[in-house]
Amino acid sequence: MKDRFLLTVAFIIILFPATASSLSLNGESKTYLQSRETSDSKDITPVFEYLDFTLRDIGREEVSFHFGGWARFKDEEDGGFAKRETGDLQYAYLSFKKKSGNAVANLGRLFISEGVALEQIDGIYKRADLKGGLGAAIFGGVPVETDFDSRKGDWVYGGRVTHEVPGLYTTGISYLREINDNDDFREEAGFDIWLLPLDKVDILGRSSYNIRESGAMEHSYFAALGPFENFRITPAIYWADYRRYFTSQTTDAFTFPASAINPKEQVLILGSEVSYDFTDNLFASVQYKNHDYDVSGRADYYGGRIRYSVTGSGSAGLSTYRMYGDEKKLRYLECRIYGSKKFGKADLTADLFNVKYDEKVNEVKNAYAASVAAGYDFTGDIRAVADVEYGRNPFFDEEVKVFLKFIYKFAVGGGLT
Amino acid sequence: MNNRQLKISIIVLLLAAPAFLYHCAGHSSVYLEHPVEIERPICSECHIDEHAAMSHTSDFLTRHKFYAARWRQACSLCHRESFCNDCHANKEELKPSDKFKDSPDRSLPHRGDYLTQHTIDGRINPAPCFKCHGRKNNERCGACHR
Repeated sequence: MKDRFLLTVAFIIILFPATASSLSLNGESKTYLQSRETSDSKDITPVFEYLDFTLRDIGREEVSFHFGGWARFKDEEDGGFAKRETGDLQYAYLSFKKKSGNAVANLGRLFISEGVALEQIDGIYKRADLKGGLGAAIFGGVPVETDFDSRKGDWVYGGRVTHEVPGLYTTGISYLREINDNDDFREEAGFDIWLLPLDKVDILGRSSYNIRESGAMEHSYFAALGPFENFRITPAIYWADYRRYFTSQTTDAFTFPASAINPKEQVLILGSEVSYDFTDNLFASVQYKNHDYDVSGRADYYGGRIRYSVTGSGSAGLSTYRMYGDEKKLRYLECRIYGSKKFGKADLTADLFNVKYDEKVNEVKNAYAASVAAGYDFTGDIRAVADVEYGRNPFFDEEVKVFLKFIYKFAVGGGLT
Repeated sequence: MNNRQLKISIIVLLLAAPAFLYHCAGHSSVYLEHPVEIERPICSECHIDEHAAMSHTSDFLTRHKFYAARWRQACSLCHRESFCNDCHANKEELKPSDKFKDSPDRSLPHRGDYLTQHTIDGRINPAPCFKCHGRKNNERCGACHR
C-alpha cells in the first residue's frame, strides 16, 4: 500500500507542470502484463508498472531528485510472492552534486556501493575526492534489508577511504556496521584495489573480513589482459569461508544447519575466460572454472559461446556450458541458441534454452524453454513488445507464459538528452 | 557505548560530514551524462586512460561488479539507476530474463527453468546466490526454504 501511494505521488509529480524554467524531467514508464500458470495450476495475469524518473536542476543546477519503483496492480495468486509484496520503492532520493571534487550528498532511499557496502538504505550518503589523491565516502541510516521483521532499532553506517594515482591504481578500505532490533547484525571491513600496472593489464579485486566472526569472508580477484591480437584473457581467483561468509542472512536457505551449506567448508575457485574478436561483429570465447573444496570434492564448469551482432540490425548467438560436480546429480549440460532481427521499426527475436540433467529430476532429464518476441518502435520513445514462451521442465509438463510490455520514455524541460 | 549514544554519534558524524565536502579536491567533477552520444560502448576507441577499462567487451559482465563498487559515477554517465535495478533489486517478482526477451544479447540471470537448475548451482557455489538473495529479494525462497 505504501509503495502504491509513493508511485501515485510520483505520477502526480510527472503530471505537474515544470514551474522553474531550468527544471527538467526525464524518465521511463514500463507496463508489463504477464500470463502464466502458478505451481498450484492456477492461471494468473498480473499487471506491473515500473516507473523511474529524474528531476534535474531543482532550484539550483546541482540539485536533482531520482525515483524508481514498481507496483503490482492485480493480485490473483493465492500464495507466494504476491501475497507478501505488491510493490517496491527501489530508490527515491535528493542529490546534491558539486562541480568540483566529485562531491556528492544524497538523501532518501539510496543504493550504496562502496567497498563492502552494497546496501539499500533510507538515509544519507556523502562522498568527495580530497586532496593528495585521497577520497572519502560515508553513509548512515536505516537498512532496508532488515525490513523482514520491523524497522525499529535498525541502523546501518559505514564508509570507505580511497587513495588514487590516476592511471596507476585506486585502492580503498571500507567498513560497515549494521544493527537489527538494537542488536549487532553485521560488522564487516574490506579492502579493494584496481591496479593498472602496464598497458593492457587491468587487475581488480576485493577482500572482505567478518569482524564478528574474526576472519576473512572472501577474496575475489580478477585480471583483464589484452587485447593482444584480438585476444582477451581474463583469469580469476575466488575464495570463500562459508562459516564467515553466510552470516546475518534473512532466509533459511543459507542457515546452518537448516540448509545444505556446511559451515566448515571453504571453496577456492580458479578459472579463466579467453575471448577472441574475429571482427567488430563476431566474437567467440571459452571459459573454464575449477571449484576446489576443503570438505566436499571438486567441480568443474566449462564451455564457450559465439556471438554475431550488428548494431541496429540484429544479432545471433550460440552457447554451451557444462557443470560437472563430483556427484551425478550435480551435473548438467546447458545450451542456448538465439537470433534477433530488425525490420524497420519492427523486430523479431527467437530464443531456445535447453538444460540436460545427468540425473532425472521428477522423471525429467531434459528441460527447455523456447520463446518468440515481437517488438515495434512507434516512435523513439514508445515501444511495445509481445512474447510467448513454451517450455517443459521438472515442474511443468507444459508451461506457457505470455508477456506484454509497453514502454514510454518521457522528457519535459530543457537540457535533456 | 549504548545504542542511544551510538545513534547520536552517527547523527553528529553525518551532520559534520559536509565539512569535508568543502575541503575537497579542486578538479572538475565527472560529467552527469556522457558529453557525446555513443553508438557502442567501447570506451577504448576514444579513451586511453582508466576510462578505457570500462569498454563493454565480452567479459564486461564478469568485470562490471568491480567497477560499479568503485566508480559508480562512470556507470551513471550512460545508465539510469533503474538499469541496475533490472537485475539488482531488493524485492523483485519478475525474473530479468522474463522482462527482456527482446534483448537476447543482455546477459540476464536465471533463464529458462532456473528453479531446478538452482539446486545444482547452489550446491556447487552458494556464494553468488547469497549476494542477491541472502538478505534481500528472497520472498520466493521462503516457499521451500523455511
